[in-house]
Amino acid sequence: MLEYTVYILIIAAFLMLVVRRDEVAIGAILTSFFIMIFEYFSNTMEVVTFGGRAAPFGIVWVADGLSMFIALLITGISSLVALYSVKHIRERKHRFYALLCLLTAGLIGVSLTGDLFNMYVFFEILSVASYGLVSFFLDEHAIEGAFKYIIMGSFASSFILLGIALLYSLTGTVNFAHLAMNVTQSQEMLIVLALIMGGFALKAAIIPFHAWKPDAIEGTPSPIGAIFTTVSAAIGIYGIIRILFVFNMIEFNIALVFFGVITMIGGALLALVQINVKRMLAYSSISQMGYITMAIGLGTTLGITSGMYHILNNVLIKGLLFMGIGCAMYVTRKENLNELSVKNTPLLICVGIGVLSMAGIPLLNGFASKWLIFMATWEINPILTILALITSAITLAYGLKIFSSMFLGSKAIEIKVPKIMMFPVILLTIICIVIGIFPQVGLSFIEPAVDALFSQSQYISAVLGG
Amino acid sequence: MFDYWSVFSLVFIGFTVIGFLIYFMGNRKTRYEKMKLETYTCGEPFPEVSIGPDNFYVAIKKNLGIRNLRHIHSGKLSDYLLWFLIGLAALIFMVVML
Repeated sequence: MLEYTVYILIIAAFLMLVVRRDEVAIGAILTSFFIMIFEYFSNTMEVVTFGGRAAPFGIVWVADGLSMFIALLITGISSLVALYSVKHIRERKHRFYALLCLLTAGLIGVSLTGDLFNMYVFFEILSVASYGLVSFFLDEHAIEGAFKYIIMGSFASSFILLGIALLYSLTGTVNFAHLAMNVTQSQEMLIVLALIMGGFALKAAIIPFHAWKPDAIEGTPSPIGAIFTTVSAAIGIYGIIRILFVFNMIEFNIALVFFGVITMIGGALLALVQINVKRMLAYSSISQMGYITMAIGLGTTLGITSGMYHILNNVLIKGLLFMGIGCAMYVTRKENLNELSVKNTPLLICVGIGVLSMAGIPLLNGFASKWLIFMATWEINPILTILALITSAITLAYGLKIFSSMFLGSKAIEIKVPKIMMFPVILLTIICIVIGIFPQVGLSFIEPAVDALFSQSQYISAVLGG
Repeated sequence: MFDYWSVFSLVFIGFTVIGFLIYFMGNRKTRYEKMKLETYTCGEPFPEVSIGPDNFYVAIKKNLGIRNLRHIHSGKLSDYLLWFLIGLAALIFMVVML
């Protein structure tokens, strides 16, 4: 049933251009979300074979705990974005929804495929849709952002493709399970690993591969900013994790820790000096990706758990903030913090909770994952914990800058936000509070993903049999 | 193992609550004489002050060298591609050699 999610979305994308009804796209995205919920809670590792050929020769999709975790996040946030965009997007909506369906299909494909080349194909589908969405407004910021993103994205894709070609020449296969049986940790293989990791690092916007992101997000519509800073970034991290899983290198990784620390601190410092709220959230997302990369680079069970947990929380928090602040941007049509002063109590509460959660204040979900990250880093090196704590303080500083500028300004204007736009914001706020108070809820949600990463042999036997 | 409801977290929350209490008690409305309600600077009424986003954390920007960090984000695509290549070279070095 998994494959139908992508079929439905691709058909809906093309149908949107003909029928021009929002309901088609929203229906398709919601359907894929409900299929994912059903599959996630069925708790079995499903292997879907395409073209009547079994693995390793045929293309397979493998729904293990990790894939399903990412796919559920993708469809969940896309569903909220689809509802939110009903009002937020004012013109050429059919094109917007067509591209949104295509983007969601690409993201799901990357997360579910069990084949490296197939992953690259879906990566390109999501990239093409992303380029279209970044340039959607067709103004100077959008075109500049999209142009930079296209060039840098193509650059990254070419390195991923080069890595895949080299890997195929060395092993004769591109199937993950088959690769896991054939890869060695020779120098050639490690170069291949680094090339592919570099390509995915651009998608995750890890410093120094990050430069496209603030420019691209500045030009893009707010709902798409919510996808770019959440699941689209997470898919880059997923690509890195999956390739490390194939290489059986889920262990301490100095490169990931090093780049993670730089990204965590650099992103937060750059967010601090931004005036444009979209750029600020873009840098904030970069900083949070740094936390995740560092935690996963630790390679311990606690490190991986905290990294996965932070992926979940970053999706919730950034989704909430981007859509919440997007409500104010929608009404005022301003993006700079010095012009974005509004009065709206529900929005104030939701954005306030988002800001506090992002900074890791207790009883909110951001604290739950950051607490685990602090514990995981403390086990390996306390200096990492101190750096993470300092970054948390900087996060609170720029978060308060957003909150103060938006809601505590003397020239605030009263705004009325459409209910359909407030719905995703309120829903995400409630989830943030619930997970904050009951962190075990979030932990039980990510547990299958963590277990999947440490059971490579189970994955191999599920795909190849025996 | 992953439950954060330990003694430390309760102490942490306790201190946060105390911090908020101090903040709210410090800002509690107190009865003053009318003349004490107005704030004076050199005999003139104190103007309403609001800090714009441009001026937030100016001291941090100046002293921590964040401006330099910002300036290297030149917006030039060629610079960004160079960063990509440098980053990739560093990544290959770390993955292969370390």
